[in-house]
Formats: sequence, C-alpha cells, structure tokens
Amino acid sequence: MDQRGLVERARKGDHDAFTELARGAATRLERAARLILRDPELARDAVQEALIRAWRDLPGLRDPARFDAWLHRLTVNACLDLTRRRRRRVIEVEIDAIDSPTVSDHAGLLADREVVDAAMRRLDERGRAIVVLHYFLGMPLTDVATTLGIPIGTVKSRLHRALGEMRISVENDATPTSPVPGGQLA
Amino acid sequence: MTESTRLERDLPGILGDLSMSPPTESLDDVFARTARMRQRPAWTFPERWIPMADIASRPAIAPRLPWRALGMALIIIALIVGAAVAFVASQRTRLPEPFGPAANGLIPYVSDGDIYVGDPVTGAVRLVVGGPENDGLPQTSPDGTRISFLREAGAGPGPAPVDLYVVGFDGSGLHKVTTEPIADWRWVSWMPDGRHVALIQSVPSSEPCAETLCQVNQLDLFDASGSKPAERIAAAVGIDSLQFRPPAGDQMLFRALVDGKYGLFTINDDGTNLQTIVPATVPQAVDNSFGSAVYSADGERIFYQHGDADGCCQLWVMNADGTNQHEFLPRGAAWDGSAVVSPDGKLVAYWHNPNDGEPHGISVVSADGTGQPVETGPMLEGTAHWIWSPDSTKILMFPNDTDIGSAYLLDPAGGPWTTVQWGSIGDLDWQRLALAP
Repeated sequence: MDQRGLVERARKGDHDAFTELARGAATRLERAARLILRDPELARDAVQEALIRAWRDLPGLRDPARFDAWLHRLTVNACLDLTRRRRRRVIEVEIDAIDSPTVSDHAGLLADREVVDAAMRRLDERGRAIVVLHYFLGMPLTDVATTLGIPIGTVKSRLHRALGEMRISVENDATPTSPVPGGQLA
Repeated sequence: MTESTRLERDLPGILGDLSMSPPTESLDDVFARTARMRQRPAWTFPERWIPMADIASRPAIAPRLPWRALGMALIIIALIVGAAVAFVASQRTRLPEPFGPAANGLIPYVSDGDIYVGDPVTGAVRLVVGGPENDGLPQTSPDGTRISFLREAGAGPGPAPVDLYVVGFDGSGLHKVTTEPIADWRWVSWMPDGRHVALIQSVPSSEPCAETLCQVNQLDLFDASGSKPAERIAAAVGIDSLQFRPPAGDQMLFRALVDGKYGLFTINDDGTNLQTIVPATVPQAVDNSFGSAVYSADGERIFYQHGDADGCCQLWVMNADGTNQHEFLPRGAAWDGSAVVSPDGKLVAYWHNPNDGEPHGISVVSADGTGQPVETGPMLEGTAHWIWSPDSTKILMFPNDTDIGSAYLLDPAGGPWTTVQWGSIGDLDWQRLALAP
C-alpha cells in the first residue's frame, strides 16, 4: 500500500498502518534530530515525542500528501522544545580546533565532513534546524518558514548567517589554527 | 566554482554522512504507548463549543427592585465600609493595582534550575527557591507579594510533567498548588484577583468520542493558597491563550478554533457569558492569526496579529466588542505583531520584521497610532519577546536566538540599552509595587 493509503488508514485509527509509516520515517527523523541537537539521546527523545504527537494528532491532518512535511514539523518543534526546556543548566561547550585537510582527493571528502561537523557545532539549534530542513530534508525555504512558524525573511537571514559561519570554518580550514579555549553557554 | 557554492552543493551529502546512526531501537516503546493512546478525533480539529446561539441569545431579565430602600441601605453600608477601609489601609503596606502604572520592583529569573530575583538598578541578586529540582517560569502575583513557578515532576517521553508552586517574594511559604502533576501544560498566568493562577493544559476530553479519546486544551483556575481544588472552566474548551480585560480583570479574552478556523472570544472568569468577539474565519493554517491578542490599558481596544490567505501577519486593532477592525500602522511588506502595551497605556512595543530579512530592533509607537515609530534596542536578525517595566519607562527584552544569556533593558525612546547584570533563560517578568502616594 502506498503512503497515502497508509496515512488515510492511520488517520482512522489503524495503529498497524501508523507503525508502518513511523518505521519508514523514523531513521530519517532521527538523523535530522541528531543534526539539530547533536546529542543522540536527546534526538531519540525528540523523535519519540514527535511520533507520539503524530499518532495523537494525525486525524487532524487534512491532506495526506503533506504527511512528511507535517512529520518534519513535529520533529523540529520537538527538538526546539527539548532545547528550550533543557536550557536551564550551564552547558560546557568544547570548541575543537579545526584540522587542516590532507592533500589527496580521497582525504578531501573526510576533511569536508569534519569541517562541516565543526561548523554545525558552532550554530545554535535554530540555525541548525534551518540548515537541516533545507539541505538535509530538501525543504524549499517557504516550507521551512511555515515549519518553523517564522517569516521567510527571517529564514533567509538566518540561513545566510549560518552559511556564512560555516564558510568561515571552511576557509579557516586552509590554514592551521590554534585550539580555542572551552567556553560556557548558560 | 567558488568555495561557497561548493559548500552548498556538497552540504546535502555531507549532512547525510554526518547523520548516519545505528538503527533506532526505541520505537517499540513508542508503539506500546501509542497503542494504548487514543487519537484525538477528527471532529476536534476544529474544537467544538457549547452552541453559541444558545448562550449568546439568552435574554437577561432584570427583576423589579425596591430601589429607594436599597439606595438608603447602600449609602449607610458604604459609609461604614469606607471608614473601615480607610482605617485598615492606613495600618498596612499599600499594594499595587493589577493593571495600570506601578512602581518597579525586582525581576524574577531562572538560573541553573533555581528561582532568583534581581535588582536591575543595583545588580544585586537573591536566591528565592533553590534545591536539586528543576524550576522555571517564575511569575509575580499582581500585588507583587508572591511568585508562582513550575517544577518538573518527572521525566518523559514527551513533555516533562510539572507541578505549580507559589512562594513568597522573600522565599517564605513555599507550597505546592497542584494536587497532581500537569502532563502537558500550555500556558500559565496569575489572574488579576491575585488569588488564582490560570493554567491551560492539554487533557483528555470529557466528551464521549467514538472509539478514540479526545485531547483538547482546557482552562483550570488554581487557588494560589493550595487549599482549594482547581476550578475547570468547562466552556473554555479548546482555549489557546488568555488575556484579562482591564480595569476590572474579570473578563478573559482568548483565541480558539471553531470549524477549523480561528476566532476570538471572551468569557467571564467564573465561566459564564461566553461571547464571540471575532467569528472564526481565519484558516487554521494561518496559525499566527489572533495570536498575541492584548487589550489596551483601558480595556477598550484589542491589538492582535491579523493573517489571511496570503500569509501572516500584520498588526491590527479593533474595539473590544470586535467592531472597527483595521490595520494599526501599515509599514510595508513585513511581519508585524506581538504588540505589548505599556502599563500607562501610552505606548505599544511591537514586532516590525521586514520581509527583506534585514536586522531590526523593537518598534515603539504611540498607542493611538500617531507619530513615527521609534526603533530601539540591538538590531536582531531573529525573533525576541519582551515586557514593559511596571512604570512604563523600560522594556525588558530577551532575544530568542542568541547565546548572550541575559535580558536587555531598552529605552522606549530609542536611547542606549543595557543588559541586566545576571544571566538567565528567556522567562520574563517584573514585580509590581505600589506607586508612591
């Protein structure tokens, strides 16, 4: 059965249909949550929360074709909710040095991965959410704006800033840098 | 190919590589829970009301009264009561009114899961509630003598359940108000009477639902002393947020969904007299509409976010009865909203977020819409939230997407701003004190 059929069945209370939908989406959702939260445990909590809300509120989804976008929204909101509720403790953030890449083409891919990883770590959760929604989940910016409940202009400006911060990291990758002291975020 | 375009070209693949993780093992727990959980039925999307026609059209019949005799009795009683009040008032500390201008007190805030109060003038801070528990959302009572807050009462999955507590401003008299944890709270606020705390939570509906169990928002009024059971306002099912109407404070304004569309409604604080202010006409997809609806300081107008099929939002204003709806101050293609009225009623601080994405400050303009808006505070690329100081001379603002960790104190006239001397999360509140006689 195609996804639309599963959604329509799940909307009417078919739990088996829902579990099939959820299993099909869970890996993608957890990967997105990990990119946003950078914490596997929190990411699993966020996805659990999103799936529970999805089951509860699925009868309210009017257009089954919007299921994936709707589920992405639930997941991102769960990530940001977790961040908001848990941002009450001092968090020590270790800012790693950015290593210079090796010369060979094969090593270049690995270096890009590490550089982007470090660059993503510098962003806050909202910035990471925008990058993940647009570049990992492939959402158009208008859908990103709707998902996050913010104006398109804000999405553009935040994405612009996020990419700018990431580009700085990429550019700095060309020259060795000294380690940055660990910092604290309240 | 430039370095920047290569980054954007390669980013999807790199992110996919970064996100690789072992298969999820926790879904069985989720499905075990959802299998026991009933879905919210379709007819609650929109939430349904007690039939509006039945409530709104019922006529009020006033009985005949012996006015002359009553008048004499009232005059005598008033003289006695007035003398007693004057005597009592002279013997105790004056307290501020729940609305209107007041003197600035201390600012409650959260740090490391504990409740503090800080003096924005001297920078002095004092711990009010400490301990290993995770506490948050401190809110001062309208009379400035107590603080309500939420304390986590367990763990998920899903939102952590919380209990509602009240404590004296000096840290004395800490007591729990709720008799059992709130599983899914949505909104909390003191009521103007200072004796109750209003709390909106998502709960199983009491309405029978074929095969499934409803989950709807519901309003409960908790006695702040903790000595009485909570009162559920049954007619406010599906309530979204809450504002109290000055100057009496006994009428509540709220947004709700009806037939899949948002509208604005009022109800008395005893659950009677449900009224439609704006019929439900805005599609649910435009979910910022009617958000942040607030009364003017005199309670005669309502500022609110207006959305339509083209999107959201503009800042609109209307009379308190829903008439004369119009855009407050057209300022070009932007997202305008989140109006907060100064306690003295003279100014409105609101969000003017141009669609071009340029950074901007908070806009402040005369509450009657005259004059030019003033932009104040740091230029922000993202969003923020704010409140006025009780004396209307400052705006306490917290950006939603920075790591600064401290709230800003802004000058409504656009002058220099500062930050408070302590770090905190984004919950904002400010103690009201009585004005000097």
